[in-house]
Amino acid sequence: MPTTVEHSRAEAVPSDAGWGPLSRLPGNPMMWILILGELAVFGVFFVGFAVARALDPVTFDASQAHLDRTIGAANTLLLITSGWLAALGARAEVSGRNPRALLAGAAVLGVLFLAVKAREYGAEIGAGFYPETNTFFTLYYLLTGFHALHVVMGVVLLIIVAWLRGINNVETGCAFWHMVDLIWVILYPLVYLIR
Amino acid sequence: MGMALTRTWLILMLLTLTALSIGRPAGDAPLGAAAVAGLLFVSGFKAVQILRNFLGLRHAGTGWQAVFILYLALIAAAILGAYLAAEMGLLAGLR
Repeated sequence: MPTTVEHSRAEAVPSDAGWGPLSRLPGNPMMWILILGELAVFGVFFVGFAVARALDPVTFDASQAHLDRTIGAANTLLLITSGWLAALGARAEVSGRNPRALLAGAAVLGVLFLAVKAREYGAEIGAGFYPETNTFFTLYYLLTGFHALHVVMGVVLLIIVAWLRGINNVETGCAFWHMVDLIWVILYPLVYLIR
Repeated sequence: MGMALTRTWLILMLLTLTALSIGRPAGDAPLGAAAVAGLLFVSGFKAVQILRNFLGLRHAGTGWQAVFILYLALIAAAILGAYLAAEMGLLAGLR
């Protein structure tokens, strides 16, 4: 029989229902607060980039011509494939199957994405394009670098949830990974293609 | 269920190649407003596929789907609006 103190302590611990609409989303609601915050930040970055281009389209278009659009598309294919493996991994966990190989595959493709991005940065810096070259390259390095940082965090998270399995953990890790994927799907055409 | 995810993946791969093709990777000439609108539509559709099928928002209710679709639509509208403003030279005097 719980005492009044124990009872009030139990009531103080939030249940899933206490998260309101967030409890309808897959994974931990705290992760969704982070995801919504990240999407808001990237949304501001995207609009900022578009407005900066509108203010100086000549510089932006001339600078964009030095990016490798095909490599950017290849990286999109890598992230999409990684997202597919992560989604299959989450599905496997829910079905009671071991998702580790799928999550490991998703993480490896994430690392490959970073390797391609690093090679791209190397080529651009080698050609003399630095963050301080002009506004386009400042925003290019800022946006893609900030995204790459999220890829690093996503890979770490995938490894952690592959290790510490459980439906909630795997869904939480995969939700973050899909957010990283989603951001790149918008970032790629904006930075590499639109001119 | 895995088949649905694989179908989504194939659609996303195909749409990425479509976006690349609209973006004419080999050329440097301006794309024009129609191509930019097409590019944004294709990319927005990809984002919705990721949200609905990979993230599982299909099962989270129409309210959440509407929130994310609105987010994507606002960003696409802002990007297209800025592109059109640049094309018409509306912001030229602000630099």
